[in-house]
Amino acid sequence: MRHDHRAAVAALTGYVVVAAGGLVALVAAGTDPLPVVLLAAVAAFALVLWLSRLLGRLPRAVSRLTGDTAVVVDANASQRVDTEAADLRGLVEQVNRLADEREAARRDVEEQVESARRDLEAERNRFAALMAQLTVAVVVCNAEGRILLYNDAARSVLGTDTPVGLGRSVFAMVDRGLVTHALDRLLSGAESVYTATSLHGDKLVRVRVTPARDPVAGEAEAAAGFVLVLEDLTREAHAGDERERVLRELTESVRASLGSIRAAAESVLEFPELSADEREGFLEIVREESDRLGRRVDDLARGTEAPADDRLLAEITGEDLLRLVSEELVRAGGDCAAPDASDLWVRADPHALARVLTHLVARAREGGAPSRLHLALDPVGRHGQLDVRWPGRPPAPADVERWLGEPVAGAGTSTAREVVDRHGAELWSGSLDPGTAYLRVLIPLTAGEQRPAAPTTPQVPSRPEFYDFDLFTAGPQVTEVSERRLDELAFTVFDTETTGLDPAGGDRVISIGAVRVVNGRVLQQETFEQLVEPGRSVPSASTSIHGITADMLAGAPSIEEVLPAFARFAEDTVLVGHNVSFDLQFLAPAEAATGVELARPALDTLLLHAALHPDHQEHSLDAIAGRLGVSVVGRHTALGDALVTAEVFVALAVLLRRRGVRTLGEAVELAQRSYQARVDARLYGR
Amino acid sequence: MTRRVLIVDDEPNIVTSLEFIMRRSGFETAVARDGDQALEEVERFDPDLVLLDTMMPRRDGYEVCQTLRAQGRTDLRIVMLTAKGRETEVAKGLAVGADSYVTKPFSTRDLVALVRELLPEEGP
Repeated sequence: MRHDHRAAVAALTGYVVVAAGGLVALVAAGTDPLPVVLLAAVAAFALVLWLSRLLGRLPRAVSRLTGDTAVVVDANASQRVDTEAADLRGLVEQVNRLADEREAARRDVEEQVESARRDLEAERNRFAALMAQLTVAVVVCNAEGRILLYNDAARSVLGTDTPVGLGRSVFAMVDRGLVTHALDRLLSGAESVYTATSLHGDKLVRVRVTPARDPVAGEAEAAAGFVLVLEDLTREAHAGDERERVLRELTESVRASLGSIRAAAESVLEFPELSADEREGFLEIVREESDRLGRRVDDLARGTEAPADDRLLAEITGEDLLRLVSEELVRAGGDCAAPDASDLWVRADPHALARVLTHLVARAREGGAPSRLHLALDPVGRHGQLDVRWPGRPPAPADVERWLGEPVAGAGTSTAREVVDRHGAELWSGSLDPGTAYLRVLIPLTAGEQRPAAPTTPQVPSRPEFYDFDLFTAGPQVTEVSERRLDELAFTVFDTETTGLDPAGGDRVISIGAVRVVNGRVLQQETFEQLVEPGRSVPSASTSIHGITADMLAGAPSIEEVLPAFARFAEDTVLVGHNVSFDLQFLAPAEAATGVELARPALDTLLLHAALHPDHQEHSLDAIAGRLGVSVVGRHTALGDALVTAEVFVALAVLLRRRGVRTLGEAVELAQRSYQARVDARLYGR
Repeated sequence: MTRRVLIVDDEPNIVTSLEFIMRRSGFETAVARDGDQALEEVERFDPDLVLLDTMMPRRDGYEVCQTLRAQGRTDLRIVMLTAKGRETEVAKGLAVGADSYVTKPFSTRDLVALVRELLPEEGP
């Protein structure tokens, strides 16, 4: 501004000097001075006019040029600046020359980088192909549990209810307690590999946990994350349960028949004086039971295979077993502390066992058992006797039997009894003394009570070349989301298509599209796209924009069904949209109807762009995309628009950082100010 | 005084032999076919010893044993007979209050010896 004034004053001085010179010359020539005075007055008037224009327009032109130059510098190097102000033309030329040179220099560097990147890309592709071919699921996470890498198999094992995605928390899919317990044991050196079973949906999954070191920090540091190798065991577990059942029934029926045969035979042998009828009766028993035995053996030969293996079981100390069981009971709402256990080892699937006990305790509580529980684990002969005790009466044995027949959450589709049988354990209820009830499980102790030999540690490459594990270094998350830095947040950029512009007037959402942005990258593979049945007609005027007809929506789910799925997709992220309040307004009724609320605050690319470039009047998605060098494809589908908005957002985020806007809260505040400015401009014509 | 033995099993073939052997060995016998009947027969017949099968319809042997002990019948001798052979099952039987546990198939001579040992002539 000061420069503008100085230029104006200089120009004014020049003019006055010239005018005065002219006047002197005229007077000296003896001409009539009146027209000269008039001329001077007109000139003075023109001067005032020119000055006012200069003072009004020039600063705006300069400010605009500054904004445009910032775009060239920060966002789009191939963009060039222009101006309407003649006085700035020279400057514009120089700026554009600089931009040309900079672009050329950058292209040189890029070519070199490109060839290096091609090599890296080839490595990555090789790695990706390898990962894709693995039938086991692999997930690599940072210490917080955020996913850094996953393969297709992981998606199919874990992604049934909750979408798997980079930057998402793996604890939405795998029990946090299992992983922290495993890491504790692994890092304390107690074991080098930790295997447990866990449940996802109705799948029984074997989880192998291995700590991962930060590739940069190296071995000295504590684990910067962990690797999960997951295997779907649902079918094996079923087969195992089935084999176990067949074997048990066979053993029992063989023993029963042999018992009858032997007793009958011995009766005949021991008492030779018995009557002919009695003798005949015993021999008949022998014949009948022999027949039954033969039939059982035939059945066996036809139907079964080798006995169940116990791959689901792992060696665990009594102390760990107690801790896991008590954690599970507490999680289910009980009040339970784990006492110190004597130093014993059992062979168990602790999570499944804990869930069986939780299930039975929950059932017992329906019958009035208190939530105050006491755990005990003692060696009894060659067994570990695990008790859940509480003051009061024990549940009836018949009830316990019935509860054992029920499927248990967290144990695949196995029933509680199958889990107990898998352990070779027995479970029953009773009273310790008149005032104390117990649920008791008798589990075989590990032979010799020796710590099992640990398999050798699989070597985690200390410097993986296949991925830029930037998320490894992400610090602990600040609880208040608005205080978190933009570059450590994950975003869900979304767009909706609607039947019109007026939600209050009955217009509805007909399509939602979204894509995730994590660590400054648009994750093209992690998208959400869903047509929505609007429960009303689709005006042809809107069809001409989005191309969606009523026929295409037939059979699509309602917004009340789609919103919860979208909310799950957007979980733990910040929503971003172009003119996002418009989309949110359309989603608000469904939020109220379902009770599912999308996270706020949301960021608006329109307002952010307006805040960064107040001098531009045009903030449409196409205009912004063009200025920021974002290529536009597939516009006017919800997903297409979401993808464009996401690229725009990534470019804007860079500009925001240069402007010193670091946190979500600061970005929201900036957008808010921009919104206020726009409202003011509309109301007061500013 | 003749000692009384209650035989509880739902398998008629084993019951026939057990009844025969126990009678020939000088015991008075009664038979129950399931857990509920077993509890009734204990009331009615007042046995000194119960040969109790573990696997039966309605109430299994463990539950019958637990119920009897809970009723305060501590002087009643209980011998569990079972086709279940797992160690944890044996341990469970003893834990719920059985005096002894016999796995099928068993020697009838050993069983008679065991019953005699649990019911000394002099009485408890």
